[in-house]
Amino acid sequence: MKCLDQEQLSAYAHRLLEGREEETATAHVDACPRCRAALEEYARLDAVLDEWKPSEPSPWFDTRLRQALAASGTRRPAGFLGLAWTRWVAVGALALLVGVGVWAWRRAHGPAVVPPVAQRVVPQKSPALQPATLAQAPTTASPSRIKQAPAKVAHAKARENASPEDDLRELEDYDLIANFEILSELPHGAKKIAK
Amino acid sequence: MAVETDLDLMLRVRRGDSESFGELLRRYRRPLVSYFARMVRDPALAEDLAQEVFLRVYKSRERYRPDARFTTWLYRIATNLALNALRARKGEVSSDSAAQPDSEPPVERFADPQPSVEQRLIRIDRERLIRQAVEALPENQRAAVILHKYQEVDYRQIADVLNVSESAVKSLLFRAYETLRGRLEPLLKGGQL
Repeated sequence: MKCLDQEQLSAYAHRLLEGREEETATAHVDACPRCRAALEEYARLDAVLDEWKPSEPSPWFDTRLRQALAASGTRRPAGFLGLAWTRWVAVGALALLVGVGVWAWRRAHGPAVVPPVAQRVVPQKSPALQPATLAQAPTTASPSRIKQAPAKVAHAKARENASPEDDLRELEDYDLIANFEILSELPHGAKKIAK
Repeated sequence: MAVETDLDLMLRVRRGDSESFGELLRRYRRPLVSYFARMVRDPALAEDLAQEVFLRVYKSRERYRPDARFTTWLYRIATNLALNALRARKGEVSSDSAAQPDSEPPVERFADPQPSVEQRLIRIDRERLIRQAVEALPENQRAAVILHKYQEVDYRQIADVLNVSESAVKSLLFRAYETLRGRLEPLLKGGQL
């Protein structure tokens, strides 16, 4: 029989042959010193590769894995919309905290109920914005940004007798920076307030 | 008492038996950490990846179907993770090798405690040569050789793991071993580097 070629020798050495192929190769190698010598080189390669020793898991591998599995186990029975109840509690607490913060800030920095701009801005010279006409004045500002709610209209009517000076004093308490953009759109008489 | 097969254990895990999962973990923690250490070299990353494999096995236990050997499934997950990690690190490989070319492999912690300094240095050097020769192989050849030589996975399973044909695995292994034979020739001739 012909000697095994390199690929057959390698396959034989690495036990990649089976059945009839393997039987034929074994029969040949047993009788062929040249092929046996070639196989010895594969055996040496095998022995050299064995010198690359395996790594051991570190002592904390099991602990870390247990923790990861435990964490995975607590996430698994997810509640409504994939959130566990503890997360809902956290979300609720956060929302409450934000709400209280906003309330406290508004209490500290300005009136709880801010009157509409149309009520607050009362130019002294322009007859179009006399107190009597305040309730009908929203056209002086952007309609999309300032809308006259019925309650606020009633409030404006109740203030019909207030003087323009009273209105200006009230405006000074208001946070002008936050409303600068709105005020800049008002008629000339009101712009000085924004400065 | 007969040793339970991986399949039996996994089927129990599927029914919620955590002790069986513990047994699988004991059986495969060391092989998996070793596999990853040889594939990605970095010992910390190897442990992270081994942990990820166990997490994935545990999370998908209810979907486990015993139509393939457990080790095939395990090494398929592991190989995908390893190859992804290698690809993700591809840009870093050259700088990484330059940064720690001869760093002592973690295996030294567990080696013979009393070798002479010279023996120790020789062993480290030989191991470094072998590691570098395997690491220089293309990804698929590298995975095939490590699975075949070190994890003792047979070539049919390797075909399933790598999702290639059996003849393709034989070809991968032939080319890989021939390349290694050439690169490790100094060691094969009995020389000391």
